[in-house]
Amino acid sequence: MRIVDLMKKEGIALGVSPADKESAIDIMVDLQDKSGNISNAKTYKKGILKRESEGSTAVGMGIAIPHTKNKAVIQPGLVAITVPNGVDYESPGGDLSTLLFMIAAPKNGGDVHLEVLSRLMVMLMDETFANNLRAAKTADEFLEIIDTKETEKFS
Amino acid sequence: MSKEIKIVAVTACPTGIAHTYMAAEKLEQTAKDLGYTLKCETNGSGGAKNVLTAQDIAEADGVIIAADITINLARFDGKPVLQCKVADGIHKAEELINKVVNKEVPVYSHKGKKSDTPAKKGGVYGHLMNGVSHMLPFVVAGGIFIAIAFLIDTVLGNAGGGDFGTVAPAAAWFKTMGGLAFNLMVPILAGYIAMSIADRPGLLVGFVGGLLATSGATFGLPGGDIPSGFLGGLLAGFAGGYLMLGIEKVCDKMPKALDGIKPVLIYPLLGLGGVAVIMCAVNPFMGMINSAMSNGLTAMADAGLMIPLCALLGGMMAIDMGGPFNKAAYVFATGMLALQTDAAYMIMAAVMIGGMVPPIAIALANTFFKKLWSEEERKNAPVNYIMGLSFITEGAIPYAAASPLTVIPACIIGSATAGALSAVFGCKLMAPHGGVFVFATMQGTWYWYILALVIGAVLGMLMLVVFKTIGSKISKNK
Repeated sequence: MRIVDLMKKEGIALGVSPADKESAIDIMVDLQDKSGNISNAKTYKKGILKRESEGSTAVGMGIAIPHTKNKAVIQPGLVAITVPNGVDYESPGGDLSTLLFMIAAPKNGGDVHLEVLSRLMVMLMDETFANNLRAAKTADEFLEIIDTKETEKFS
Repeated sequence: MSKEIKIVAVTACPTGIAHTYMAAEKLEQTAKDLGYTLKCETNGSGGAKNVLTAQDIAEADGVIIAADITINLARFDGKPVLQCKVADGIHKAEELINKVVNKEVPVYSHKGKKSDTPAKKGGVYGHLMNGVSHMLPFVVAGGIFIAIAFLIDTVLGNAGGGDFGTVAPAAAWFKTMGGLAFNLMVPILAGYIAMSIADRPGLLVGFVGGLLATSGATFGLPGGDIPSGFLGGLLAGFAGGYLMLGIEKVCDKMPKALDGIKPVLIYPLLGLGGVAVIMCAVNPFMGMINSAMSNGLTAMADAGLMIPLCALLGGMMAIDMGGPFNKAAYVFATGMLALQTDAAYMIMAAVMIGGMVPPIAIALANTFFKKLWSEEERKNAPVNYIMGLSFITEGAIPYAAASPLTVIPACIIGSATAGALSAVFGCKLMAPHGGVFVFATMQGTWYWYILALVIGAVLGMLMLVVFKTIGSKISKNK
């Protein structure tokens, strides 16, 4: 399985401008819903917020990865937004987040997708790659950048 | 040029999906840029990956633990260990690495016993202990409930009959509830062994394999025949676990489109089929062993070889504690009871004492030779006095499962000796079970019986000490 198999064009929103952390979360939860990954947006969002309450999932370098293993998740999936002006995602480094991925992981079931996700996490540590994603104009381009990078780094 | 600097790290976060891997990558990248070697173990929700070996740790100049959950640090005893949040591993990677390189990190000293168990237990012993530790509560709770049932019937004067322990309604209730916990013992053992080997997909094959070992299902008699007991359960756990790993390997060759349904449909289907075939193929041999032994025992009884017969029966009770050997001996003895002869009563006495010795010997060894056992084993040992005295041999199973090659032979020696002595002293027992609660029903021979029990248990304890000491020396020399 490749990373892009976990993503759909409908799950990518480029150049959005949420006012704060909560509205960024709302946008991404909505994308998960549109991608058909979750059965109940409320339950899923609860899980996301619970994880955030244990510490922000912003990791610095303008990146945040909200995630939860949640019973409302039907299938593992990944959505993404880019925020050109940045959003305060309570990053411990104080930086604004401009590239955000939200992960939906099913409560039960195999762990295949986790390995896939871990590859994306590793790739995001490459700043050039992250900047390319921020600069993507279309969802197709966004997916292509990921796929190319995955081939380059892992095969 | 100075010596190459080596660092090891462990990353983990509460969900184990994102930060664990990001921090690992960032630490490895940063170390590489700075010209150091860094190996990072990721404790994600898919289990530990890139696990640090004892050699990695030994060679490391320092350790970075970037985790928001508790990580067992025992294996880093004596190393400079830097602990921080997983997020620090991501955006303060350089700072962390420099701290370790500049030796600004305190040396960690682990207070507990030193252990080299990695975060994810591996190896045959690790798998075994995963099964045993999950099984223990079932043994303890079930055993005590059954002992309570015997106690109630004793107090109410119902001792001695074949339905001892279930005569009074209250006793029957306790015995049934305890029995339920007991019935789960072998499936739990097998299930968690298999899960330790093959992760979640292993659970199904282990549980079902364990149930099949308990029921003794065969192709001809799927409903069950001669149980293969806990030895069959061990087989089910290991065979099931490795079977599942094999299935996963084979399934790797299937189209990627099927990835999603593998864990929910394909693994379980193939796993269930595979383990059912294995166990149904193995169980008939247990039946054959069983009937061969019954014939042999009958022949010995006919020939009047009472003392060797009683030694043999006592020993058989300790071999598999619920498997074909134990069952053959027990069924033989209860079958003989119907003859109502002195020889039959002597045989019954030998069988019961053979089943009482193992838990008591183990409890004694835990009381007097603490160093030979793990903390968990020691904590559960006192219950074995109660179980042994109540003729609940199963109390010994967790200990036998943990190290079959040392515990079983020791128990056999103790039980066989007790069985032989019981015959020598002419002890006669008419009740098919009940342990110490039915001693009063023995015809004036109970004090000799207690003497035989004490000798057998003490001998069993000494044998445990000898075998365990030899066993640990052998494994150290490896």
